[in-house]
Amino acid sequence: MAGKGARGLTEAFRSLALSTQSCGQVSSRLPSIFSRSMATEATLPRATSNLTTTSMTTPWRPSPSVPVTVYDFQSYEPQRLEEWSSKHLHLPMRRDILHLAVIFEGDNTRQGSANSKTRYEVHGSHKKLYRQKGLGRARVGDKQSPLRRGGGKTFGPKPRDFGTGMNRKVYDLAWRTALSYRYRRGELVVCEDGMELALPQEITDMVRDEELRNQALIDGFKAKWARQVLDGHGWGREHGRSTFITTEWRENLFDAMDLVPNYGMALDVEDVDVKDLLTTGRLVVEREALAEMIQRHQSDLCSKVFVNGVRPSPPATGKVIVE
Amino acid sequence: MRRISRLSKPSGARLASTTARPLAPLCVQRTAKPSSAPAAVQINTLRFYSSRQPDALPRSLGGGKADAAPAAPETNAVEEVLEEERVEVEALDLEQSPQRVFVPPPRPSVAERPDEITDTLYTPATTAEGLDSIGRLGNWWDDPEHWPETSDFVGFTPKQKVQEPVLLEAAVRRALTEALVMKQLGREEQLTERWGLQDKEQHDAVLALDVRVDSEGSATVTGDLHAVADELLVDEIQTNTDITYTLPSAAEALAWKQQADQTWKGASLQDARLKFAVIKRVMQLTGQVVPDQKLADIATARGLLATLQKPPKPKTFSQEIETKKQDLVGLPNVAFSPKRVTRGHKDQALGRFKLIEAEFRKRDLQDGPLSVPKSREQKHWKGEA
Repeated sequence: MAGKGARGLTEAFRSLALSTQSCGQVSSRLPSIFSRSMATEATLPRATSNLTTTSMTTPWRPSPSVPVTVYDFQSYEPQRLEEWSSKHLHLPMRRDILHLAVIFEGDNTRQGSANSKTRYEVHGSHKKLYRQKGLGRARVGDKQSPLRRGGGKTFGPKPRDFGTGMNRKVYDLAWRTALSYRYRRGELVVCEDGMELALPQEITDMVRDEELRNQALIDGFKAKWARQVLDGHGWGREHGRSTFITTEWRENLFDAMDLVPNYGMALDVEDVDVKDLLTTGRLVVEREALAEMIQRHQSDLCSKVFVNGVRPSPPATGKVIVE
Repeated sequence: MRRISRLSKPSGARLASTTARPLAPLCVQRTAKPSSAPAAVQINTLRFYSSRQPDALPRSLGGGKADAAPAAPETNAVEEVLEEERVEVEALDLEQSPQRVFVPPPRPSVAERPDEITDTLYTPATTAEGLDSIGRLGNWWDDPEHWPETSDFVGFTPKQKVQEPVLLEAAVRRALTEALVMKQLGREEQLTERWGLQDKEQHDAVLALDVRVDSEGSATVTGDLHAVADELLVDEIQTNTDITYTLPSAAEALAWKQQADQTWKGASLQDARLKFAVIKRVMQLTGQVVPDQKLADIATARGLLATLQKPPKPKTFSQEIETKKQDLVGLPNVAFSPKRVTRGHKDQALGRFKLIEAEFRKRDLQDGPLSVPKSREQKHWKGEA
């Protein structure tokens, strides 16, 4: 009886200890005999056992911000250095989320307007073509029958919405993951606001004074100039194409990029989606456009719930370090 | 005065003095207006042009040839007038034509309608003989006369990226020294400005400065700092992008490296402003851009050098083997081929391919080289064909 009682007491203590404390606390307080796991014991790998106590106690924490150089657009001269939040530009790669986002966008871009006529919509008389018996021919109904040429289509396409859904926060995460992917690969070039292809003053004057009126000539100049600018910076055709993103339509830049599609494309920030961010060799983004893209796509970072009358603010970003 | 000249050189001939100038066509048009033939000058020969000639044409439009049309008889008086006018037009051209680098095409001139020509001596041409083909405007800007190479786009970086490790090292040392000079002189504001590109002498002078680095990585420069700083902050930014003016040759850089003290590589770049200035200057000198995500890892000049000197990644696996894994290629029992070895290659190696082609040709079965598209080869391997 006594042995049974002692065993019961031990069990009671043990259950008490386990149920009242969290796993971490238990493992730190209990003697080693109690921390033995249910699984078969094995020696730890050498790499783990060699870890010093300091590295165990101070875990690695990623930097809360990453540096971003802001360049002058046409000359590619570095203008200043800024600090952007890691949650905006240094997220880990999530290929699955990017895939979801691109498929979601593709689904919602489908027009879904394919339409074919059923036998009830095909024009014409529904009279029986000829009588049922006595002609030695196969029996027929009306001429709209799907079996006949010119007849209706069985199970043909009808206008429909192919759109699918995606959780807002996941989609926003995909946006910033795409930007972070570009950043990590060194393919995100941030330029100063007002990014525009500046033509030589002489040509601008000629166009203004109508000395240069032929549109083909003006376009030819813009195209050659744009090719030279892009090749000069290693952004051109040979280095993968470039996507330019601005806050608004810029005449020279957008015209020129339309003229040299082999060198890339220019997009207004309203027209950009995740697929565009991933398509070409690099992104050349206006600073304001980048800030706007991030500001629109951070719903997973800042809650809508007000705490003590204040809405939680998003991570600080875009602080100037060197100017 | 001008009317006479139009008549005396009726084939659209331009004055010789205006042909070589960049925007001469427009200038001539502005000064000389088209006009009808005066009654005083009578021309007896047949002409294949209307008496009302358009402006003088540029050489590109066939205007440079004075002998393209039959010369009209001229009196001494007319010649004198011509000479006067030539001097006048030259003077006007010199005054009015700005120095332009991009040459637009001349304004188009419209010929008089045949039914409106009043000149009774005019006979319409029946053939195009003697006319020059002037081409279209599609490739106007490809002509170096219209868009000289000197007016190509020039950015902050040089046209050719510097890849040589020794040159990169010299450039980093130069950039570091210059940035340290500016910092030591207290010109912190000018650290991030755009500095001028100097000639080779200045480059040597900067490299000759002594950079001392202590155990904690803080660097000091000794020498004539003010001279270097004043050279950097020239008002007029030189747009010369030819890197040979600013960087030495590889041999010179190597010689410099062998005699230079290597302790400067330990100089700390923890100061964000200094690091920015150095990286900006290196970009200006070499065209090498340091990606943003590597900035945080660069703590010393040595770290910057390691980032820059990393050779570019080979584009294909075969390139990587050819450049880096030469030991594999040299193995006696390994054959390396940059592309997949196919049936055709084996036949070629055996000398059978020529025989097969000859036999096909003999039977008139195969015209041209015996090769099949890739898709058919793949089918063959799969046993489908």
